[in-house]
Formats: sequence, structure tokens, C-alpha cells
Amino acid sequence: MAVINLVGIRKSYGKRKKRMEVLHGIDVHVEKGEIFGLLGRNGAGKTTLIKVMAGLLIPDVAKGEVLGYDVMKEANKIRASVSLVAPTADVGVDPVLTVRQNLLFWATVYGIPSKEVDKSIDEVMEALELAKFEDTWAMEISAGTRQRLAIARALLVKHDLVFLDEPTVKLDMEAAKMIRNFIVDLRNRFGITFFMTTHLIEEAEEICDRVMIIDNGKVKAVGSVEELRNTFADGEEITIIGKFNALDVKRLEEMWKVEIIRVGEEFQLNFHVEDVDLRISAIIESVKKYGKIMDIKTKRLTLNDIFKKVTV
Amino acid sequence: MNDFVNELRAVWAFSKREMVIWASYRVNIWTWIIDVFINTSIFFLISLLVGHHLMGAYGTNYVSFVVIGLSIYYISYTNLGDPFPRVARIYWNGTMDLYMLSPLSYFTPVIGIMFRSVIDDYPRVGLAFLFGWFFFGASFTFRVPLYVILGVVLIGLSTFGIGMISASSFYLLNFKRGTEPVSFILQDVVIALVGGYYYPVNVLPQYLQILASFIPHTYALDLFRRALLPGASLTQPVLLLQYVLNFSPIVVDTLALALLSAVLFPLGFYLYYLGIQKARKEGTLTRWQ
Repeated sequence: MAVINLVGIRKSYGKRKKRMEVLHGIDVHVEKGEIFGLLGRNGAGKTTLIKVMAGLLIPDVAKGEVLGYDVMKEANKIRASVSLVAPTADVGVDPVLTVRQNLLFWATVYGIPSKEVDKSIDEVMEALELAKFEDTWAMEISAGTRQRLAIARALLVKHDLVFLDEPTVKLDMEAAKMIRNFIVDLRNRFGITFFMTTHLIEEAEEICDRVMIIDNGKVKAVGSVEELRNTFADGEEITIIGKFNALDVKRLEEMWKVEIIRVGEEFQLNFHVEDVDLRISAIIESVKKYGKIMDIKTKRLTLNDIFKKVTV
Repeated sequence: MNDFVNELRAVWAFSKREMVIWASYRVNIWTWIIDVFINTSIFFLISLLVGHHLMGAYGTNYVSFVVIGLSIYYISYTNLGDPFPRVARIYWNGTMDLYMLSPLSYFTPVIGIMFRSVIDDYPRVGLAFLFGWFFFGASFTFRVPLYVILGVVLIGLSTFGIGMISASSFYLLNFKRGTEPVSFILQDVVIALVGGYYYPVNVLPQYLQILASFIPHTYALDLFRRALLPGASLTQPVLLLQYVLNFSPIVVDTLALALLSAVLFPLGFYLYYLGIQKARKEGTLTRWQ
């Protein structure tokens, strides 16, 4: 079931001669329960796209629905049905209120019935390991914990769709890893759909089911990391270092597309293949017949390689 | 009905939050007590110079007269002057987007956050009366209570309407830095000059009295002074409109306030709605983009 199904999103800012188009007819399709990553450089249009989808920003043109609501006509219903975590945890977290007071305030803003408020707060605090900070002022907790509080706020109301705008920005590696684990865990436990932007390509590679790469307001690529590899890979590499005689190396060169480099008494054989997984066994079997293998390395196309390739 | 109850609950949640934040700044309470005392004592000292002779239809002494002026000033200062900085605050701290991503109406966050101003400023009214009466010889009575209650409601609505017009300028006219001109021109220039906080409006030149006829403060001050000051006349006209309409001055005040409220209150909310819609088109709801 599609949670987001939008086509032809266009958005521009400014007037007349200063008018600048930020989104150039973008299509977005996200299924329920997906962790969908939006990648792009600064100014690529990521936040604008999130705000259009959340109903905060009125697009110039767009067709389709978010959570079944028409993006042009029912933005108020979309706004009441989605959650957002802003790039900085301090947005929506009041420093002079305790963790529980912060959540209590937002629970009422989100219209959670009085009887269910305490239960909802206890649930998100447990899920995000905030219980031990419940009576601590928000100004006294770490940036990572504040970010968890911001996510807890967004999850209080159990919306099916949560937008995360760079949820781990400004966090150290350990805190960022923790947040990523929480996101995956929450998706697995509650089936929440997460639409997240990130600058960190490794982050998208690690937790996103699918990613979309945008550049200058245009979609450059969309799919799972594996699909993007298949689409954009112009080959992967298997490197074998070993001891062979020169004649056998010649035979290998006739059998395979291989680059041969002599390193002292050893040879480095760089095999260019379309798919490492498909070819590696056959290549190793073949090479073993002609000499002694000392080391094997593989190089696969990373999301980072794909990102650089499509945003040049 | 359920939605309305939720909106009220949200206003209460904002209020409670603002109260906690306000209470965390403990020095606040002392600064405003001193502020009210100093203001009242300044006018007491001025009263030693001017005596009784300027009060005319409003009877009693200058301190009593000016305590009413100060009270309306405090209410007006809050309702008229605070919506703009409150909206500015939620723009600059980035929470406007988050408030919009909720079932609340556009207006609930502003109304809720305004409670901070109300708890901060409204008690000053009582304090001004208390200081005036206890230290500086002011005296009060309580005639025509229905009109007083109506007057409080109507001056509250009309000034909040102007406050919302001022707040709408944040988005509608893009006043994001420096002094906001709507409340400055109205509060600090026009109303301060012709509203009648510190002197009766009939001492002004006629063209300024005409200008004063379009300001709710003029009628509220006249109404409260007639109703609360001992010896004030309930029949002698002071304001231009009271000479034109053949009703009791207090009825004229109430009608004028009702008319101004009926125009300014919905106008303020409508302009604020337009401002939010404009910001949603331009992507300027919050600083964070």
C-alpha cells in the first residue's frame, strides 16, 4: 500500500525575474513500512520536498496523495496525520521543561485523549530509552538524548508516516548509530513508514530500504541500493594476489578479462566482472589451478560511488 | 465538538507550559511589581502638580484617573503588543512547522502562547489599583457592573484583534527584523497620544479628538472612569460621539467598543490566516528551511 504517491511536484520561490524553481517535477512513491532515504547535496531541494509532502508548503503543481489525502486539496488533513523531526533536536524541545513535561505538552497539542496521555508517554520513553531522564530538564541532557526526545515527540501520536530531516546531523558516531538502530527497530515493531533526508550516504546505505538521489531539484536515481548498483555499475572488481608462473598468467589472461600487475615475485590479478557474487567462485577455482593464492579482495560499487556518479 | 475540546485542551497546555517557563524566571515577579509601583508613584508625583481641576466629568483626583489609564495600558500593551513577538518567537525557534503538523487550528498556538503575556501583565492591573489606593490616595467605586464587565471583554477583544493584525504583518508584510510598524504606530504613537491614558481626550485639538474616535481605548477609558471613579458623571458627554448620539455616554462607549470589536477581532484573525497561507506558499513559516 502506497503511503506517498505523488507525481510532478514543482515548487519555485521568489517573484518574476528572481523566481527560482527548486523542484522540477519530482515523483515520489513510498510504500507502507519502508525506510525511504532522500539524498542530495545542500540546496538540492530535500527540505522543500519534505515540506511539500507534509502539507507545510503549497507546491506550484503536484498530483497525488499522502496517506490517501490529496496533496493540493487536503493539506490540513495531511498536516494532522504526519510527524516531523527537524534537523536540530532543539526545535520543539523546551529546555526549561523536563523530558516528561515536554512530551506531556506535545501529547495535548497532538490531541491524544487525556486517558491515553500517560500510557503514550511511557511507551515512547521506554522505546527510546528516555525513562531515566523523565524528570531531567531538557537543557541538561546530551544532544543525542535530545534528538531521541525529538523523535519521541514525533512518535507520541502513532502516525503512520514520520519525516526525519537529517535526524543524525550534529551527533557523534555512537549517538548517530543509536538513533539509526531506533529507527529500524521502530519500523520493525510498529510498521511506521520513515521518510528521511540525510547527508550521510553510509547512513542511507545502512538503514534505507530504498533511496532517491536528487540534484538541483531533479530525481537522478531511485531504488534500493542493490538496484542502483545494478543500474549504475559499470563493473566490479576482484583482486587476487598470488604466486604464478608467467605462462599460467598468460593463460588466465586469455580466459578472463583481467589486468595483470607484477609485484616482485608475486602477481596481482585484477578481474573486471559485472557482478562479484556471480563470478567469484569460478574465478577462484580457475586461478587455484595455476598457482598459490595469497590474498583476495573485492571492490563493489558503493552508494557513495553512485551518488557521485549521478550528481556530477 | 471534540475538535473544539481539543483546541481548548491545547490552549490550556500552552498556558501551563508558559506558566512553568515564566515561573522559572523568578526575578520576573519582582521586576514587574517594582515597575507598577514606580509607574503609579510617578503619576502620584505628577498629580501633586496638576491637582483636581483637569478631571471634569471624571470627578475625583488625578491618581485615580491615571490608575484607570495605566490599567487599560497594561491590557492593551499585552493584547496589542504581544502577538507579534510571540509569532516571531515561534518563527525563530522553528516550532511553527511543528505546531502546523498537528490537528490544531492556525490560531490556537498564538492564543495559547499569549497566556504567558496575560499572566505576566494582567495582574499589574490589580496591583496598580492596590498601590494607587493604598499609597497614593486613589479612590474607586463600582457602579454599573454589567457595563464594566462588557467593557473588559470588548476592550480585550478589540485590542487582541489589533494585536493579530500586527502579528499577521510578520508573514503578510514580511516584517521579520527590527520594529514592527503596525503596533508601533498604533500603540506607541496614535494611542499613546490620543487614547487618553494620562489626560482626558477633550483637552486635545478637535482633529486629534476625531482620530481618537476610531480607537477602542478612548471608549474603554471613558467607560471605566465613569463607572469606577467616585463623583464621575454618567450623563455629561466628553467624547465627540457622545455629543452626536443621543444615548447615555456609557451606552455610547459600549456600542462603539462593540462595533470596533466586531470589526477588529475577525479582521485580525483573517489577516493572520492570510499571512500563514502566504508563508506556506513562500516557504517562510519558520526560519528552518
